This record gives sequence, structure tokens and C-alpha cells, in this order.
Amino acid sequence: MGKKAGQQKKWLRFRVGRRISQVLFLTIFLFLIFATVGLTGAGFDAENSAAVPYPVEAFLDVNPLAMVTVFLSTFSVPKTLLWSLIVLASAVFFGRAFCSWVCPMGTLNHAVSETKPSLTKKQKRSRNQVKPAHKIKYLLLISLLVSALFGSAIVGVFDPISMVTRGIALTVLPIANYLVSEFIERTAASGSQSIQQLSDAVYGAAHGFVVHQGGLITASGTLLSLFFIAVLVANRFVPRFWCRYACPLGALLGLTGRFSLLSLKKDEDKCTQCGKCEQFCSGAASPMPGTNWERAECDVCMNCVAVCPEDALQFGLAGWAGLTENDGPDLRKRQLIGSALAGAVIVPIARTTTISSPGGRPDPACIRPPGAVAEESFLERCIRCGQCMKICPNNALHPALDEAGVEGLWTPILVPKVGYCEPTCTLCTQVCPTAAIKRVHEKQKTGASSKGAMVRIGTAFIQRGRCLPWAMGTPCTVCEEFCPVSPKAIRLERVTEQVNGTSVTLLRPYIDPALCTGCGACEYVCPVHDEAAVIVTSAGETRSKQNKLLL
Amino acid sequence: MTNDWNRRRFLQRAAIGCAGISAVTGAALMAKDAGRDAPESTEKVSQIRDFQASGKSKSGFIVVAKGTPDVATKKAIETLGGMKQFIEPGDTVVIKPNVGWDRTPVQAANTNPLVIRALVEMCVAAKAKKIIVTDNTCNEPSRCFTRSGIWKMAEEAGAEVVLPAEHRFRNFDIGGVILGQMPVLSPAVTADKFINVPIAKHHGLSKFTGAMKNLYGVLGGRRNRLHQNIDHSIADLADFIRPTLTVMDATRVLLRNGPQGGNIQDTKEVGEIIASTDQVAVDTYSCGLIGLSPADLPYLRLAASRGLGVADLKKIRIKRVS
Repeated sequence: MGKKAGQQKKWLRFRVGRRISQVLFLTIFLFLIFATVGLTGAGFDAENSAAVPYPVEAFLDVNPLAMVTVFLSTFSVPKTLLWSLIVLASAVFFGRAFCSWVCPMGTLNHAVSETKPSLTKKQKRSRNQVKPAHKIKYLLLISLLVSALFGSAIVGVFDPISMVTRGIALTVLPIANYLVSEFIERTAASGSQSIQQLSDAVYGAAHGFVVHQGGLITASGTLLSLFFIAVLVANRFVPRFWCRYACPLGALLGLTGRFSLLSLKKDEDKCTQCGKCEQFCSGAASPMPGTNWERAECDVCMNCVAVCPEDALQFGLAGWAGLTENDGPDLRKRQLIGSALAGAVIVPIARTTTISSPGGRPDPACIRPPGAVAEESFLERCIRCGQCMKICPNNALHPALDEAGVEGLWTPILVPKVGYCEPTCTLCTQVCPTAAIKRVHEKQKTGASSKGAMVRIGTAFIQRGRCLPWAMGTPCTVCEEFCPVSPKAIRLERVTEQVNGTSVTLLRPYIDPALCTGCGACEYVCPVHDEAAVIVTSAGETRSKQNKLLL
Repeated sequence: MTNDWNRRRFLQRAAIGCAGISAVTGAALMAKDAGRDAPESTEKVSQIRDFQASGKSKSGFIVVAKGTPDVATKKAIETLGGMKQFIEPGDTVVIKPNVGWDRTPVQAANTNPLVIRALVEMCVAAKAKKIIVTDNTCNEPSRCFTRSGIWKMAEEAGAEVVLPAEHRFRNFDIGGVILGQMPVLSPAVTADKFINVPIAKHHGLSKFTGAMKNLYGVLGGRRNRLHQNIDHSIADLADFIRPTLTVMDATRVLLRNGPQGGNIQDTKEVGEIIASTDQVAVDTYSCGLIGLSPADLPYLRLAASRGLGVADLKKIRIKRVS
């Protein structure tokens, strides 16, 4: 190694800057995910507590893919998504710099990609070659945007910001919660008092952060977890695999940055073809002089300019005479038409076929969060980021599998068996980046407001064959006790019944469908533990015109 | 690598393989032995500490103080002889409010936070070493403690709020007629003194939830099965925990749609704090505040017949102050 070339020092600083930026944005991102809680504690007054403290959905607000999708599916844009114009504008100046300087999914992919130090220089170079299959992401983007035009925000399954939010909130966090809770349980179970103090200390530090009261699970979340983990593991085989091959946001920024000001200046005279630039290129963007620079693939990671020992590479904002580049992907007409057609048929297929549910009518298990817009609009907007599921204090919201049809994959549904909708909580309605869940006031949930404004997410039904007072001559009123509305939606009728020759007074529960909000508290607390004697289904939800129950 | 298997190498490999398999099997057997077959470890405590301050308990005597929540609370305790009568310097004191629900004070589903603050201040003045405020809530605990206003006021006054985390429950033998082993919120029952601070409310099944029913809040596990025999289980709990003091918050009571209410129209301003060392007498008096008669509540008779207190309104001496 000789001494550093004249310009190299400067570019090394840029690379350090990029790394600092990645760590910074990842930290902010993780902080916001962990801060996605309602504020509780000694510092808060009774009357104005438990609101969302920060714009926890900030990374989704700046996501241009979400904005473009919602614009195409609804021809309107929620105000908060206008922040994403900043990122779109950044692409006009700096190309895909967002991918390698800001995107938290990109940073995680980048980090895992770096875990292969044993590779030879030759192997590294060969992994960073331009591949025709890199254009899959553009075709995927086109498909997804066309399906958005057909009214489906299925893009959320592939959107990297949604993916990483979901991945951390619904995969990493439950794992962390499980491990820390196990540790606390085990130390608490030990006989030693000093070890028990440790469990209290850990609980104190982790409560509300990773430790969730009553555990944390992601119902039908295995597929989601495996998908996220597979995306991370793929980096072991190809650096930034997802970013290069599949990322629709990267594709959108690549296309936007087609005429970006930032260019890579290559000096063929200085270049000794040592190949170092290629060895470290994170985007497989062909940085070596003598080849065509792939503008849309370059994520401006600054590796090539930082490692070039000959000063043969420079980034500059002005164009330069000898620029040889491919400014965008080489998309053939037939591929374009094909992917657009694919996007066009995805929606009809998803709406005319089902995997296992009967379809045709609202699914009983498709209980949407309070404030969710009507199903058709919901599917136009929900990008499956999982923020609502993360912030739910009762672990009640879970990613759907096919309860909302194929199209509704990973959209939020309430699973009362795992958790019920906390009566006065409106947190999920405060964090939705695409307004698929509209703001709801506490009064609309508890029935304390006027009837018209009341938000009902479903209705409870007594299963008389399983109910203790109905079928088994045994007193029980737990569902009525927990019913949070006033007057209560569960009414008790006193009967006296002969049970084995003795007369027993029983209070039998009845549901008043006009009062029930479908919160699921009754199902959650029913002492018939495996399959409750009272169940909640989506019937009667206020957002639906079809799923009405009462005249 | 060459494929030069010979006898020596075969034997070496076979020995390593066998050792590995036996190690794994042995470990599995030991794990099974330690975990699955051993009975679950429990702390067999049929009668926990009797929290009653010796010689200070007056069966069948209650103080009814009128006024705002904090003033009436202080007046009631002073009339009972002052907190120093019950708390010794250096004591660890548990204050057990009703923080069952994610409700604000005006809805009268939880104990008024001003009552808790007044009690904490009096315990601090009586030189208690540590004051714990705890309850196993029905709704999500952090929200209940915050929105009841109790978290803030208790900690500002010098108490520690202990959330009902899973690791804080231990199996205890309640030793009751129907309650056997149950998970119990252990910080609540391992202190020196126990002050029960219920609120007077309607309840669909037990009709009235007051002092004795409030003790449900130290239980964990699947306590929703207790409703199948609610009167006996309430009496069992009152037998299990005999509080140092019972301070009933009846400043604003819940008349309907209990125990969580939600509607201010369900509540009524009564403006009373009832303090006593006799939890049965407190419930016997207080149920009248929501329009019930002691005869409506079988658990009062059950508790009285076990000698836990006085359930006959005529035999209760009431001292009124304002």
C-alpha cells in the first residue's frame, strides 16, 4: 500500500460520513419503533395521558413509494405523506443516496453483507457484477404501481420501509420480549433475594421498551418473520441482495434519479484496472473506468471513490465530458407490458379467488382496528407497515393471513383471543401513515358520544352451548363485568334452575347488539379458555355498509 | 481430504459419536428430571402475616368522615387514632387501591388518587421505610395506573408504584374453603402492613364491590373462574388477608354498570371516607351508599361467621366527623 492519493482522503471522509449517517438514521428508526407506545407513568396526568409522543411513523411519512401508491389508488395524498417529496427531491440531486445513507432496511442489509470477510478479492468482484436480473425490481415496481391503480396497496408487502418496520416490530421485538421475560421469570423464581432484585431491575429497565405486559406474540406471523429473516440472510450470498434485485422503492428512486446531478467521473488514464472499486461497490453499479456506470444502480455509498488508490474516480455535481453511463435500466417493451399486465391481473385474481376462506362475504375474523375506513378503501391504503400492531397496548392487532383475502396479507386484524381493544385507547388511530385508519376520539369508542359518531368494530355473540350459566348451571358474569360501555352491552337475566336437585340462581348473559362495540374484552376474559363462550366477529362494524347487523 | 478409513479411525469416530449421543441423552434426561417430573415449587404459606396492628384493632367500629377526598381521609385516620397507631417507624407498607380499570377519577371506577396521596403522606409522616402502591389491574396496568391518576400522585407523595408484572406472582396456599393454591402478587402480601383502599361500586354478580372484593386485586392467574362461587371466594380472601386498615373511598360512588362504569351519569357524589380496622364492618356500612342492604350480600354473613368482623349494621358503632 502506497500513500493515499491526493483526493482519496477527502472521499474517505465522505465514506465515514455515510457510515455515521447510516448508524444515526438506524438509531432514530429503532428509537421510534421502541417509542411507539402510549406515554404512561408517574409523569403523566390522568386526563391527558397515553397519547403518542413523537411522530413515530416518520420513516413511513417520508416514503415516496407509499405516497405514489396511495395517490394512484385513491387519487389523493394524505398531508403527512407530502414529506416524502423531500426524499423524491433528494433523488433528483443525488440519485439513490437515500438507499445507502438513510434507509434502515438498506443499512441492515449493508451490515449483514459485510459479514463475509473471508472472501477473496476475486470473489468479491464477481459478486458485484452487473446482472440482467437486477432489473426485476423495476418490473416489480411497475406491477405494484399498476395494481395500485387497480385499487390495491399490496406494494406494502415489498416496500422496504414497511418491511423493516414490520420486521423489527413484529419479529425482533417479540423475540426480545420473549428472551428478556424468560430471564426475568427465571431469576425471579430463584430462591436468592439478590437475584430476585436483579429481575426487578431488569423489568424496571425493560418495561414498556421490550417487555410487554402479558407477553407479545404475532398471530399468524411466522411467514412474515421468515420473509424478513430470508431478506437479511440473502445478503450472505449477494451483498444487498434485496436492494439490488427486488426493492421497489430503490427502483422508484433509481428511475427518479435518472437525470440526477450527481455523476461518477471516471479517469481512464489514471486507472490501473486494479478492481478495488468493484470489490467494494455496494450497488453493483459498474464503477470501474472503461465500463458504463449504472446510474440507477449506484446508491452513492462512496466506497469506490474512497478505495481508489489512483484518484481515478470522483463524484461531482456537474456533468462531465467523458461520462459513459447507462442512466436507467434496459427495460424491453415486452417486459414492460408483461409486468404491467401482471400488476393488472394480480388484483382481479386476489379478488376472485381465496386460499381457504369461503370469500364472497365479510370474513368473521376480519375485525379491523377502530377508525379503519371501509374495506375497499382500506385495501387501497394499508401498506402493512405494522405501526398499529406495534402500538396496540394489548397486543390485540395482528397481521392477517387470508382473513381479508389474499390481497389483505399482513393487514391488521383484531384477534380478541390474544388481546382486546382497550376501551379508551385510540393509539392505533394516531399512527397510520396512509390514513387507512382515521383518527378516532375516545368518546366514539366508549359509546359516550352520540350514536351516529360511535365506532363499532364488530359484535359479540354468546355461544350458549359453551357458556357456564347457559349450559352448565354454573354462575359466571365475567363478560358482563368486563364490558366497557355504559350502559353495558351485555345484559344479565336472572333465572333459577334445578341442577342435580338443588335450585341454583344464575345470571345469564345476553348481548345488546345496539350497544356492543365489538371490542372483544368479553371474548378475551371468558373463563372458557380455549374457545370462548362469547366470540366477536366483524358483523355490525360501522365502517361497512354490507356488514350491517341491525335494521 | 483423503478417504483413508482404517480400524483405528473407525473406532475413534465411533467412540466420539457414542459419547456425544450419551451426553445429549443424559442432559435431556436430567432436564426432564429437573423440570417435568418435579412438582411445581410453591411457597406453602396458608396464613400470611396477620397485618392487624396488635391491640389497635376495634371490631365493629368505623369512622365516617365527610369532606373532599384528601381532607376527609386525613380526618378519618386521625379520628381512628392517627397513622402512628398502626404504622411503626421502619415498616414496609402496602397500599392497595382499586386500580382495576383504564378510567379517569371522575368515572369512579378506581380509588380517587387524592385518597392515595393523603395516605402515602401520612405513612411518610409515620416514618414508614417503604411505601408500595400496587394492584393487579383488569385493563392494561400502565394505562390503569396512569389514567387513574394514582401513579403520579403516589410517587409524588413518596411511594413506589409496583406494576403487577408476571414475575412478581408466587403460588400461595390461600387455605380457604374453595380457594387453594393461587398465584399472588407477592410484594402485596410480604410487607409489614397492609392498607386496603377500595372504592364503593356496583358489581353485576356480587352486587357490591368494596373492601373485601378489592382483595381480588392481589390474585393473579385465571382469577376469572372465581366468579363461579364468588361469595365464598370473597370470604376466603378476607380470611387470607386481614388488613391493618381499611379506608373506603366513597367520595364518589358508582351506582350502575359496575365495576368499571364509564359514564359520569352512573356515579353519585357522596363525599364520605370510611376508615376502620374491621373490613367486614366497612362493607356492611358502605353497601348502603349505593342503595343496597347488607342482606343482599351473602359474603358479609360468611365473613362474619368466620369471625372476620361485624356484619350486623345495628352492632356497628359509627363515629361521624366532618
